[in-house]
Amino acid sequence: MNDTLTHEQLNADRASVLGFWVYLMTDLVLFASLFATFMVLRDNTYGGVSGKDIFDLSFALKETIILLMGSFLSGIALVLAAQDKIAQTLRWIAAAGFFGAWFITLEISEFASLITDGHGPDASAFLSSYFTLVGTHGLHVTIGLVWLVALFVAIQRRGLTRPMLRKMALLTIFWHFLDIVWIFIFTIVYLFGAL
Amino acid sequence: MNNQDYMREIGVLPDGPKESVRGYLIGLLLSLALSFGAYAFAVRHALSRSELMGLLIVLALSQFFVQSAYFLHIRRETVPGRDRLFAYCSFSIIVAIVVVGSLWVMTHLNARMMNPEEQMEYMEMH
Repeated sequence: MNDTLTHEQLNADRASVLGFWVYLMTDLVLFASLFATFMVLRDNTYGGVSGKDIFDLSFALKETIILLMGSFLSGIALVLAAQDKIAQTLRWIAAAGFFGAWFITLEISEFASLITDGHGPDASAFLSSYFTLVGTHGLHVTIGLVWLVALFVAIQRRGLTRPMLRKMALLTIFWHFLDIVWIFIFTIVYLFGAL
Repeated sequence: MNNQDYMREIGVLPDGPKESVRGYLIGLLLSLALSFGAYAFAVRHALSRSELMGLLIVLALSQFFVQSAYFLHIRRETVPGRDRLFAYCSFSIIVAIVVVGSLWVMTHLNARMMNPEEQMEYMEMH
């Protein structure tokens, strides 16, 4: 690709990646406060259902694996992008997006069935904190998906230019970060909830 | 500077293509093993509740370290990796204070508050 990259530009791009990372760290604090809220309120079921009654561990495991696959595939797409293989890059980005969309579909169906069974966020403090924590994560994944589609179209139009690579790098970092947050949702919300 | 060098310079892909793919594969396999392992322990109920909770937290933290190393490339050898590690460490302190602090305060509310009679006594004394 173009070899004209000034030292200033490189430093600016490094700062951009680090800046995005610091944003993710503030997001981590947001999730930490939601985790703390959930852990404090988990037993306040208001006489209604607890985690034991509503969580299906094999379903949660399925969600975990699907999200992990999306995270992994976005990383592979990044390796392909670094080698200028645009067709393959697009294919692997699409695959990562497919798994992300699958995850969101599962989560929406899980939320919908809980709400139709009368276990919506208004039923108890436990369910309010559950929907807020898991829903905030799901919202992040949804935003990531919109970003992924936009990036896909942009790479198709403009090719793997350096700004595209940088944006793609930020998206994969975002994806890996969301998968890390999910590990703790899987463990603390679902696995602990069913104990 | 080609794309590969650029990715290395901004700290996103510190290794060459082959090592990167191998790293992602190792990360994937370890993560799968840890997730399935946690699930298997949780379903079996072979341990006591507190032992199981401790074990599951250890497995989750292990997966956190695996993905940080193999997917996010946090490592001390590169400048961007070190920068991110520093941010990770400083924010971990805040996360720990928020989570542990909330749990500590909320699970000790009874011990930290007086019952009504004690309150009356206290008020009469002062």
